[in-house]
Amino acid sequence: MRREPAHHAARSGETCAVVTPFRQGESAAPLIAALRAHITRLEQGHARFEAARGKASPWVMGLPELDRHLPAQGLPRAGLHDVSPRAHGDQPAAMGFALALALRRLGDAQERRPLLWCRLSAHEREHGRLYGHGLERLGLSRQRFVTISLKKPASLLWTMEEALKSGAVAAVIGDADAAHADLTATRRLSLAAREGKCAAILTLGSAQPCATASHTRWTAAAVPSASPPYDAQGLGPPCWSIELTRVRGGRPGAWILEWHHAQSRFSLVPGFSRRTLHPGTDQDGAEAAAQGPALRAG
Amino acid sequence: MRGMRLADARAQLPELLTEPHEPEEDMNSLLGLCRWMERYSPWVSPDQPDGILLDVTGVPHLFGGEQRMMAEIRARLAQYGFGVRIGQGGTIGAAWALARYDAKDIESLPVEALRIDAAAAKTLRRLGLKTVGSLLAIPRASLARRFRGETIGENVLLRLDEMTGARDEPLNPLNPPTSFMAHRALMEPVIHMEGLEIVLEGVVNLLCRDLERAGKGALRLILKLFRADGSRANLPVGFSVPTHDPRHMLRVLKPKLEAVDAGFGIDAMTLEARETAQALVQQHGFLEDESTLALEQLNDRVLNRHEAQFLALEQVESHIPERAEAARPSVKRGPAKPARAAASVRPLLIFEAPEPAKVVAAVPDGPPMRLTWRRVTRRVVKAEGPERVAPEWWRLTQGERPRDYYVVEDEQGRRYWLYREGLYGEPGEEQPKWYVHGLSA
Repeated sequence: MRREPAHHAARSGETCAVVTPFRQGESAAPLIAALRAHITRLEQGHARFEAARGKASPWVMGLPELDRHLPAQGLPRAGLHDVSPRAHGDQPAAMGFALALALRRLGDAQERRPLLWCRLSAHEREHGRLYGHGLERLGLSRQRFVTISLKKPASLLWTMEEALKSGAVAAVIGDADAAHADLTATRRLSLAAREGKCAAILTLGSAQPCATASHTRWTAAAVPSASPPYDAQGLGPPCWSIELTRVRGGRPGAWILEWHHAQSRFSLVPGFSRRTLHPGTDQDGAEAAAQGPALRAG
Repeated sequence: MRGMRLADARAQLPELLTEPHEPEEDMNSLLGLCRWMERYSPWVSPDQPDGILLDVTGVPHLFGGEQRMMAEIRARLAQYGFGVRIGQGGTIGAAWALARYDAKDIESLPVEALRIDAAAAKTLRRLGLKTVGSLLAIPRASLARRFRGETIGENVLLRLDEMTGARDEPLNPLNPPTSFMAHRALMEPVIHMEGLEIVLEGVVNLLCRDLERAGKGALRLILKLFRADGSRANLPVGFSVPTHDPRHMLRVLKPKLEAVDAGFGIDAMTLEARETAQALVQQHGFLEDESTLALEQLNDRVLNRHEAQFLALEQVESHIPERAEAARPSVKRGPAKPARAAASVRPLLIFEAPEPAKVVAAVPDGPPMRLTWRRVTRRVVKAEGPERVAPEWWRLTQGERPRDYYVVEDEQGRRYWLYREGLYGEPGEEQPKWYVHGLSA
């Protein structure tokens, strides 16, 4: 009876560092107790890991002034959002903001999947193609990024939908025209995003008001950046005027944000004046301005 | 008569019927006939311009012997309206000659049957060598000596050897043999998509089982659908990584199947793996998720549907901005290179071709004050630069000039990445030009 566990322990002693070799004549009971404790520890660790994996942190913007406007103090991790430029020339700003949103999502430690950016070849001719060195300047590593260039808007929407459904990517950013991103198309994308637990961000070609099934709708425009203190001619971090025009379960609002790629965080621009506020939020903004300098617009 | 003018021929025979000669169409119909001939042998090759070669080794007994097989081929082709001559021989050369010239054996064949050009045949005839037999009667060494150094002679010897079998002549089959294929014949032709999908699932599972057993994965597949009227639809698909996952194959194949016109129904389906490779058996780690594999499979689906694939932007060692990066298929992405310190400003978006712009600067070498690009003039408020990028002299770049890059911001805060090509005050060079090369967020 005693031989059997002895052999077993000696064999497992070679492979598992925790188990001490079991000597002849000694009782097996303490060893078995130690092994059981070890297994329990392993199981607890795994349970903790699984729990951490299941409980994903919400997609927050990192600014209380902004997060307050979002449902549940942050965006749902799986869902569709769209960003449109305020004017034609604001397309790069809108794309930059879309990337910043996606980077807030990618920054999660539990998230290992890459970002997919779908481009339309017509848009690439109009606004230029993505440049990896520039993406790195905004905080996106090449290793976590793939892009694809498609000729037809319909194939772009198909690719986005398939990518979202497959769950192979953390977030998908896609060019879309207001003409093609109608209610049906965006509803499909939204459902696909929920299925694959991915975030989808559409960058619309124009600020044309058309109904979409997005969780949130943003408009973005470039604003003059703050010069660094030592150089009046120099350029500061990218600075955008952002308006949250529609949000399910939240409040619309407008802010001027700077993007700090190194920490991948937004900051509110101090000294924000009322003249950049937007018609829809005018009254809220006035109240907010009266409340104090920290809250820019409500 | 060959070489006669059309007008002359019409003058002699006014009721002459004429057709334009279309070699491509001829070739296409020859290829179609070749594919049809695969019913007799898997090893079929077109012999341009008017022949088809079949390797029937081990085949005739299936048709009841050589004579009956030839008779069947002749009869079936006659039904389709083709007049054919069939020759059978132990070598390609012999079979070719016997199909074209009437002879009992190869000795009595004329020298033209050797597949040599007309000039060579003429020379041989002038020497009194009229049949293959008379050539074979001459000792080989003396024949080689007589025609030494002449291209004709070499050609004659080569062809003679090929006819007698002294020299091997390969036969390249139209369809290279596949080692992995699955076939399913149906009792009744199927038209409905649902039915075809079930059949497809069957062949995919068969093929994947064989592939998995051999430790291989398919890179290229071809799905052949045989319609009831004898025509065939071929659907090729490709994979970026070797796969034997039936679910993945089905997801790629099904959209292709949807586009097929089933005609009067499909009564057989063949799935062949045209290209296979060792499949990597991947065991996913405890912590690692399966996103890499999912991305590759997603790439296959996009590639087979829209002919676009996922690209990774890889860094290239160059100072010239457009050369400093290359887009490569993401499945072939190499290991991560250490990122170079991003010291200089780079835009989010870059134009494939830099766009000419008009720029006003306070001093010729200074930063821009006013920028006119795409017919809109912008007042520049802030500018950073210049960043001098010199041409890479080791590339022999003729006519490339140094560039001074600036990033500028206009009144509205929009950022442009522009450069001035050329320097002021260089003798013998034209004035510097400005280009917008990219846009920043």
